[in-house]
Amino acid sequence: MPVKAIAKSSIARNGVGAYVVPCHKISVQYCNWGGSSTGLRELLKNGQLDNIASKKKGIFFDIFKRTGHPKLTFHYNNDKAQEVEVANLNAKEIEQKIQEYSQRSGAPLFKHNHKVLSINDSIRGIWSPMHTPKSHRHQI
Amino acid sequence: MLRSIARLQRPVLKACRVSVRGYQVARLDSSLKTKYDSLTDYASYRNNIFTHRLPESTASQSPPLVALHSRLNLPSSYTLSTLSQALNLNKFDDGLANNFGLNTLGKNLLSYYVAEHLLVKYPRLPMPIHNGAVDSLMGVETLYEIGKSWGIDVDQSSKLEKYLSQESEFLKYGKLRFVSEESKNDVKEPGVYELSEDEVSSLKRNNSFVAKEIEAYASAVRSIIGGLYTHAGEEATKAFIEDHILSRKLPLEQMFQFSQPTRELIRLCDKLNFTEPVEIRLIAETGRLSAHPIYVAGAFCGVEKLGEGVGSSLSEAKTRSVVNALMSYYLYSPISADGTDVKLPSDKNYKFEGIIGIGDVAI
Amino acid sequence: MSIRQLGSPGKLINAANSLRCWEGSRYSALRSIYLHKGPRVAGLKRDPEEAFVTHNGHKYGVSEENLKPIKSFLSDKYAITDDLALQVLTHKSFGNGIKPYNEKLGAMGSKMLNLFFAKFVVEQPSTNELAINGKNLDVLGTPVAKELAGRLALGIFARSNNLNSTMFWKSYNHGVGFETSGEMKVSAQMMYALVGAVTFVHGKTVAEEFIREKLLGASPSIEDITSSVVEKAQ
Repeated sequence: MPVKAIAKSSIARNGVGAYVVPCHKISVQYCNWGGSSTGLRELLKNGQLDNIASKKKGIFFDIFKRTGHPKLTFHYNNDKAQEVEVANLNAKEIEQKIQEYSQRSGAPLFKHNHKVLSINDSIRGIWSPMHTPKSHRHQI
Repeated sequence: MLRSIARLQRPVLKACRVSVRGYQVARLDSSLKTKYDSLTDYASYRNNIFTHRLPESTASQSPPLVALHSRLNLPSSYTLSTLSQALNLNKFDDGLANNFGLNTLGKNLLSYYVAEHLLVKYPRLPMPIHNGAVDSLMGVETLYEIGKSWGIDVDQSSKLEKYLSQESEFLKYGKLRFVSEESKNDVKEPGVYELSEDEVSSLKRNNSFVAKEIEAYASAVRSIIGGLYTHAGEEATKAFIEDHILSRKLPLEQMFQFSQPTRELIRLCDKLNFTEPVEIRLIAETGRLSAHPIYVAGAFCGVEKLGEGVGSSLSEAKTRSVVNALMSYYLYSPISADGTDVKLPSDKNYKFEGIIGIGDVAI
Repeated sequence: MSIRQLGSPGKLINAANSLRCWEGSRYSALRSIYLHKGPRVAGLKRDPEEAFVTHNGHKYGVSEENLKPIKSFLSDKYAITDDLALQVLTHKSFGNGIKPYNEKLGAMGSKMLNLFFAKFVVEQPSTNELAINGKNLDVLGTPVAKELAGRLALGIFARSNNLNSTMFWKSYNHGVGFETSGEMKVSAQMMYALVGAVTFVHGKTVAEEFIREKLLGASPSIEDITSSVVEKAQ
């Protein structure tokens, strides 16, 4: 056998070719009695949440009633779920939370302080001191 | 004692050898209870363990299913009942048709388009690497990852649990169904994974373990592709495969494992009818008495430089240069006359511009 | 041991350098290598005249005699170049794989045939209520659907159309039967390669026409062969 293969899985590049929204499910938990759910109840009552759901067709909205503070749970395709407390927030603020978290990838946020972030090799290559003509090399 | 054992084993070995040499014609899977009028009357085949397909009206009431449909940007001609069928692997689930046929169709489509892409784009890949690359793009592990990224959930709750949590009965039609009703009721110990009978037998057969869940996700992804073909035709399926599968980054340069690269290069040059001999020449060095000497070697055939490598010893530099030469041959990718990628045989107005692999060398 | 190392060290120097080194004396780039005839001796390069001949005496190379069966089978409509036709006929086992052989062509052809026959068996209008959009998928996975693009059916097809009369391959024992000697496998590989070559040269649509016209339209067609093979097995 001259050459053998090392098994490697191909690497996903969401957005190259097709883009699939990473957030696939949002669980909306509200309480029918407590005052902290007022904003969420309003959002549900005035049909605003229906509007959001019809705009985000790829996301499954699971709405259920439970006692306690209201909560949004965002389920991402990397098996992560992010819980967001929306107690005492008004309808507008809750809508903003939904917009913000439904656009995330589910990966933890990090400070990006590199110039380039890439999985590809540099097309320019690396400079080598050994490939210059002898007369141009560094002399000690 | 030893002798008696050896005697016992002999007939078993003989039987194995016969079955390997002979050709095994495929057999009918009797568990599907397939009936047909005549062998080649393809329209008459019917799997009698299934009684019906999911009605479209039921499928459309499953929110996760509708969400999956639009998340994948599937055309409106792709019915929700087919999408739901693609997620069903259960054979004995109230007579509801499962994804067996869709899976087979999807697998054929995927195999062709992935193979075509690799054969045209990387015509000189050695066959083991080619097969590895096919696995890398459409192996079960990769398809599992893709299925996960599509946000497909597994239906794991039993009927009782569904009833107690007042879960809508339609919800399960949008989930991956491969866990049988009995095993859902099994008590599960957290952190312990109990192998099913299939998994144990596959472990014994080929010493590799693929979890049932991974296989199920892979099957669902293939079936969704098969379903796209039945509803939207081959052009749409090709575009879908290109967008979701072939757009992934393939780490080909990390997949080579050479055992005797120098021999292989010499043999390869022989196969390519190069008249000049292969030579390794030293291009530059920092000096042998320097603290950390570095050498640059090149693999040459006559005046042509085939590859170059840097190493901290002469033999390292030599090996690297040879491997570099081989890699640059194997990873060659043709471009068309106008500088774009060459066309694939399934493209419109196809014109053959690339090359065809002439096969690997034996050493 | 490689042949390259057999010559004297001086012969390993390339032509351009050598002319500079030994000015005046003519030194050719062509190395004189001893080509061995007769029984195999380890390390000696065999004479191609003798090494590249099949067990039944066909000499490797582009010749009318070698390529006639597959060229007439392909007809002008699906014609491929002579070199490619020779590659189609050459198996990996011939000459230790030193000549261009048909592995990659076969990879393309087998996938092409599997896809074609999967589409072919589901395309007939069906009254089955499990059919999806009129396509009866229940037939997929049955023996007939699998064996249409299977090795046995294609091997027998190649033999019945006399396509495998000239093939460049080597068996562990050419004397034993069609299946046991591996001829069936090699013939099937050649058929895959033939379909693959048409796909490469003419594209997928033409290759599908080719399968329909030449494989399904022949007598006995690949369908007849497959059904007889499957019937016999059951």
